[in-house]
Amino acid sequence: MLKKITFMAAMFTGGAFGADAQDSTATSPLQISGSVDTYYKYDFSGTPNIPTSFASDQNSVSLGMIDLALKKTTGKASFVGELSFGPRGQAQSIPNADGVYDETTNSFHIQNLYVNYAFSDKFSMTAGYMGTFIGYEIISPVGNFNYSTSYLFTNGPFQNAGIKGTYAFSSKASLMVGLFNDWNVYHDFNGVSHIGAQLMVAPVEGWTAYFNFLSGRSDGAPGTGTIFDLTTAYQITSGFKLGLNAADYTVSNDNGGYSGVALYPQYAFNSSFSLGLRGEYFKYKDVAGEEQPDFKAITLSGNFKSGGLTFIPEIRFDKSSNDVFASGPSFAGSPNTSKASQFSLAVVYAF
Amino acid sequence: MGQKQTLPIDEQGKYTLFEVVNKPGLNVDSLSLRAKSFFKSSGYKTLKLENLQGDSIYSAKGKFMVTKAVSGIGHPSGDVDYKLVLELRNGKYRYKITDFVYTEYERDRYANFVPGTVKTPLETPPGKLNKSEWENTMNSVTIQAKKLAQSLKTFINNPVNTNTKKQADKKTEKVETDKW
Repeated sequence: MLKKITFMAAMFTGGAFGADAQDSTATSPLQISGSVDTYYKYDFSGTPNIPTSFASDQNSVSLGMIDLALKKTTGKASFVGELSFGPRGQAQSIPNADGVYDETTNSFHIQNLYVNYAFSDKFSMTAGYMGTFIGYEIISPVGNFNYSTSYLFTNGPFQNAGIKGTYAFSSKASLMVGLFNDWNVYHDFNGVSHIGAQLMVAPVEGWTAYFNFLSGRSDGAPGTGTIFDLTTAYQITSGFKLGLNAADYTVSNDNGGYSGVALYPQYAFNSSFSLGLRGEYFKYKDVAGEEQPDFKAITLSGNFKSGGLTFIPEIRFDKSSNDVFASGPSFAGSPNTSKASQFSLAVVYAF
Repeated sequence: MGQKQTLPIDEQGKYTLFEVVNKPGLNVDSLSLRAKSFFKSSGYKTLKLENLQGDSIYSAKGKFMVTKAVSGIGHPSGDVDYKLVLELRNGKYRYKITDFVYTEYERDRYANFVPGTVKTPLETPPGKLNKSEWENTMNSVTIQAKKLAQSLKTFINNPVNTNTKKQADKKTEKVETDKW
């Protein structure tokens, strides 16, 4: 099972806005971007409880990560290198600089490290280590509306190393096919073992849907893991956006997996304030006849924006089919319960 | 840093760069030839001619990039769609750059900045919290719109062959190495 659990305010000076003489150039200057984030969380049971990624520390002003990304385009070639430092980008993501998960030796985490070549306006190839194409949410807090993450995110791949080709039929449809390592590893010890594909369609302006597929047998795994994933978002009006993520993951030979769906309605009251809900149903698949729990979770988040700063107050309620949550600190001998809830405040600064 | 620039507002309350330029002695056909040369050779790759009424009214749409940068280092923060309308008369022409619509860019999972899904007319009040960002965008758009207008005027104020020659000169500079 993937271990992806678990976020500072920031002080990076913003900057001026440039005006280029031309409206497009083949060679772009070096791009630098990134983010920093910090959070406070309080689980109402008094102990950390909800087993999704990041925002894990109880009753503490804790750190997310500082994320630094470089990008350069020269002609048809480009590269991206993105490193993160801090709990969210180190021990709570996988793997660390050594290519393993180890809290005692973790140093930094590579978010993206790839090279891209555009053979034409329609066809490009990319090789390296990339954020996964599966799922709605991502590791960087800048790319998510909610600060806490979904069960689908936590249990799916974070990143995929590999080589992929993308062909754009038009601005409304493209197809990616690639060969990948095992999930979340720089080095695949059982050879390039996974095949993946993504069909993107954009039927109308503001609506984009990604049909994703990834299958392969990871090193030491008891079976072949296959994931089908739908990730879509539609900006229905200038204020209202609806997102959806549905996924099914199966490990062959009755070795479990999961399925789930998450809905993301979001409404922007103005350019500074938005409210968003995430409603999720998630179920671990039974393993060898042993029943596994399901989870229902509702998360309500606000986004207050001022320039590069986003302030995210959030409240979350989770319910499981089994008593998997603590009702109080374990030292008090509290019995388990099927419900959990938490409140968090996060600050994310993007530059 | 100099004072932030802003565009003028027209009768409909829309930000508009507008100018009437007199070119005595040039008829519509001559002006039209130069206008066509501008749309073909100006180097504004996103500028696409959408409508041509006779040879006297040209309507095109384009896009300005807005970059958040310090000393040239930064990343794209958005783009602004605009409409350019050029009208020709005997002895004069006028142009209008207007319909500015801002699309904020979002960071994607691959650390690229891509257009978001919300398009906002530049006239929409930014609110107190985002006023500074909006002013920077407006400054950038104003500079780029003036530069576009200057390029258009350079093309129309000069004969086509001069413009073409300038373009060619830009491409290749020749040097004779047998001279002493």
